[in-house]
Amino acid sequence: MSVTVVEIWLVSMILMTGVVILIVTLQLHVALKKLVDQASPEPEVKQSWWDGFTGLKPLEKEKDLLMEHKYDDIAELDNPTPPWFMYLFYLTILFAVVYGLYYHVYQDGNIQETEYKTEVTIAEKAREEYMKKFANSVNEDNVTVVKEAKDLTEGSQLYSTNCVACHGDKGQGGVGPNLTDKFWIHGGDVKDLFKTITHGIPEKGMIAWNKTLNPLQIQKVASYILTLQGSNPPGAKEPQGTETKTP
Amino acid sequence: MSTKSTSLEQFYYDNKIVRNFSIATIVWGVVGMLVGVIIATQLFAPAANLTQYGTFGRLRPLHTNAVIFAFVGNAIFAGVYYSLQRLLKARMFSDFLSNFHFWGWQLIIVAAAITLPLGITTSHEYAELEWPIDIAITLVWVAFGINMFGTIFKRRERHLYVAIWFYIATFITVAVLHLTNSMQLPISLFKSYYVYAGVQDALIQWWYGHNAVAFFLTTPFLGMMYYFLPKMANRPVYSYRLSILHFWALIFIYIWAGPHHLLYSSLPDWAQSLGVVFSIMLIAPSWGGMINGLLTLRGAWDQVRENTLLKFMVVGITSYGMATFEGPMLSLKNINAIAHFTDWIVAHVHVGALGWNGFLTFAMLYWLVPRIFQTNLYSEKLVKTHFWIGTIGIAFYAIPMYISGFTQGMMWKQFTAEGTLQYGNFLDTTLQLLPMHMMRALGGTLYLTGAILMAYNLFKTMAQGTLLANEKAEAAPLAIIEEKHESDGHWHRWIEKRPIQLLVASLVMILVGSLVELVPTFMVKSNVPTIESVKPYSSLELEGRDIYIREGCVSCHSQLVRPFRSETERYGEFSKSGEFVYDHPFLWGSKRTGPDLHREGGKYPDSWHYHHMREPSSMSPGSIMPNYAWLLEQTLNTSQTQDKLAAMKKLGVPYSTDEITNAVKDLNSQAKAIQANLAAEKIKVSQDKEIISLIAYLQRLGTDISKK
Repeated sequence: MSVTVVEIWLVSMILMTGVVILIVTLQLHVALKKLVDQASPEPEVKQSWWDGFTGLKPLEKEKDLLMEHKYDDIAELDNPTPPWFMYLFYLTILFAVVYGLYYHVYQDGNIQETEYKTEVTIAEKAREEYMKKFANSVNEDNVTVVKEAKDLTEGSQLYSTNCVACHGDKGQGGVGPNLTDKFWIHGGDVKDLFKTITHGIPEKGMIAWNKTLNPLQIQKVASYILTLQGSNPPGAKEPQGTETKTP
Repeated sequence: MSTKSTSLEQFYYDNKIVRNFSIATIVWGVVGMLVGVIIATQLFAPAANLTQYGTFGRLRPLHTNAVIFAFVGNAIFAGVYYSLQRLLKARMFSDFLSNFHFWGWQLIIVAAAITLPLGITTSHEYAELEWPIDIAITLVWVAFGINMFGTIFKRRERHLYVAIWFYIATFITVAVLHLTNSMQLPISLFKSYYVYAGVQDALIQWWYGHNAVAFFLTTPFLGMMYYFLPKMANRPVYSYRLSILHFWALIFIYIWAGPHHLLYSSLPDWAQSLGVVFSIMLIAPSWGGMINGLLTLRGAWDQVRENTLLKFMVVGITSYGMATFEGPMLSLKNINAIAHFTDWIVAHVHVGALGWNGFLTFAMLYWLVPRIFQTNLYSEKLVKTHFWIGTIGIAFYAIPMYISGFTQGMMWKQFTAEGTLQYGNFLDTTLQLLPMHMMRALGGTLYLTGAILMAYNLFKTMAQGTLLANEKAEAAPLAIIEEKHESDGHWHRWIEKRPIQLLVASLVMILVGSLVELVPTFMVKSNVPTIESVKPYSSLELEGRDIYIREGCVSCHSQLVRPFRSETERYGEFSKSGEFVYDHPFLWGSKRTGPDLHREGGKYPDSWHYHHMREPSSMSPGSIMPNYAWLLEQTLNTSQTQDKLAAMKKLGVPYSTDEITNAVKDLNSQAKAIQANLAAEKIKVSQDKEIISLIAYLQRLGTDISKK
């Protein structure tokens, strides 16, 4: 079950607003009642339900509540536990019972794995839809270089998120090879790049990115990498692999 | 009421021990908070990690230990020694035990302050101290218990006041927690392995950790509140009945809630659910203390306006109420899914620590120091300043941390429309939080400044007064034969006269929940399904793991991939309980400042890890991780490798006799292979360096599950 945060906040906001309104109403009720009571000079002491809920005895009656013992001059009153406090306690106990019954009697108790499977299934479906609509149009056989500035900017962002750790912020190489020279270990045209990024070179530490990036994104980042050709960044790593002419 | 004895006895309260604990509270408080400000700074300025002894990983446990056990611990003892004598109308049982307790506790603190920066740690949160110190803690705690019960036995007051119930429950529960959680197999004076592993170790640790909060940071303070608040406000305690109800409910329910630290982990679902529901049921019992405190002030709110000490108390009690409402909310799984591993939890615990423990301690010290020194406070104005600067400090601390935690939790989970992680690079989420971390450090500095003002004020107060070391008091002795027909009403009056029964009843209360959760997790095999392909660590990896523990990497990196799509996309397959069976101790962590490492093995080449340790920003630009250059220089100590494997075998890790005999030989050949890997990448490093073993460990992490 995936409840979004927005939903959580909405519900908590509604609940909080409800509580605030409740309190304000009750306060108004009490205040008004006091006014009314003052107006009518009835001496009858009648507890409002609010007083019943809070369980507060008037301060003047404190003397009757005083218990006979004292500890190092600390006295104790024999006030009852506030009713609202008891309601709260009962409510939480009820919650516990319902929670236990729901997840461990009514359902199989396998809470988080069920939740995870549901979440992933929904996402897989959405992913398939997306691939059907757009991304499947690109694969390692038909991929071409994209040239539009918008796509290249996206490619550059993807690069700085995912690739700088090994290939350096300017493609100069580090743990991974230099991407700015004409030497390529696994081929230097866009199809080779697309393939390398998609499947990775696991034995050399290059991750397969097809889990993280979709084909369109891989196309963009590959295109961006090709724009780095010949940029001669400072601290460039020595050439590795064979020289290839990049179109 | 007992028959009034005609002759009053004279005796003397020991104020010297109260003074000693008060001074220790002040000094360690300032030290602990200062370390807090330092580590807060390290989280936005990695340059503040000075030398290998001053990194975040090593100082963070120092901060928590100093604040919990040195600052709060000494405050508890000051408060208990002051109030216990007066509530029982008796001097402490033994001056020798009082002093033994005081000096023993301070020595333990000093031992912690030395060993933790040296990297001597067992890695269990809030219980990092190695086994010799654990034994010392046990001795001192027993001395405290004997002293307390000795005093109770020679009391001149028949009934035990509510404060003392809380003290008794504190004593017995901390003893149980400490003993159970400290079960270690020593290898040398400074090294041991926990006897528990993986999921079981995690459950023990958080049963301990959660209830350290309950029975070290909460119950003794509730007891102190019940003494000092009515004293300060000169008001009767609101409700005796409420105090009975919330005392028993609190200690019974609290102990169950530990598993809420392990939601969405590999802990079995049934245990997690117990953690959830008992946390929810805990709201009312913990609020019972707050209500009884605040309602005690009923009719005294005009005093609160005038009296800064009461202001401290009100903010403290309110913070307690906020934190104990938030705790149960954080135990709801959908909220926990966002908050866990983030700064949200940091904010939560600091509302409790700074507000409840800090402010109650401050109020208590301001109240009792002038009394035992027979003078007035040096400056009322400074107290006011302290109150305001402290309150603003809490706000500046907590608010940015809430924002930070929420932001981070949401960023981790954010997917793009294309179905990929919006912030695939973990560092993006870390860097986003830096401004909030700066604000937090400012808040912490304000709070520290307040504490320094207090230190100055109180030391000046002490200087201008003279300590009344032995305070004269008078009370009638207890009548030896108890009258049969006591008719003071409430059933609870029965147990209040019987300290041993009270102790046993408290013990039973806390054992019920503990046993229900711990025993099945240890006994029932199906709780930890076996995974055939999971094998023990090699000797080199085991050494690497110990370096990981020494450097406190677990302070920032979790090893627990939760069953969320956002985490399996980012890290890989979620963690299974069967993967941790050889992990003595478990290293799931409690906060992610850096990414999770459970599936780290094989992700990057060896050289990546080498460069990352040498200079993290070279591999991850903007990283706030400190450099671990000394790992490249220091030679791995293999003198105990065999012993370590042998100890693991004793704990049930299936090493063969050959593997143990050849431990160092195997270690060297694996190291050689890694050295060769690095050499191929033009990295020159000799095979006996610590970095090699750490790389071996990191490359092993989480790989067994995918082995055929």
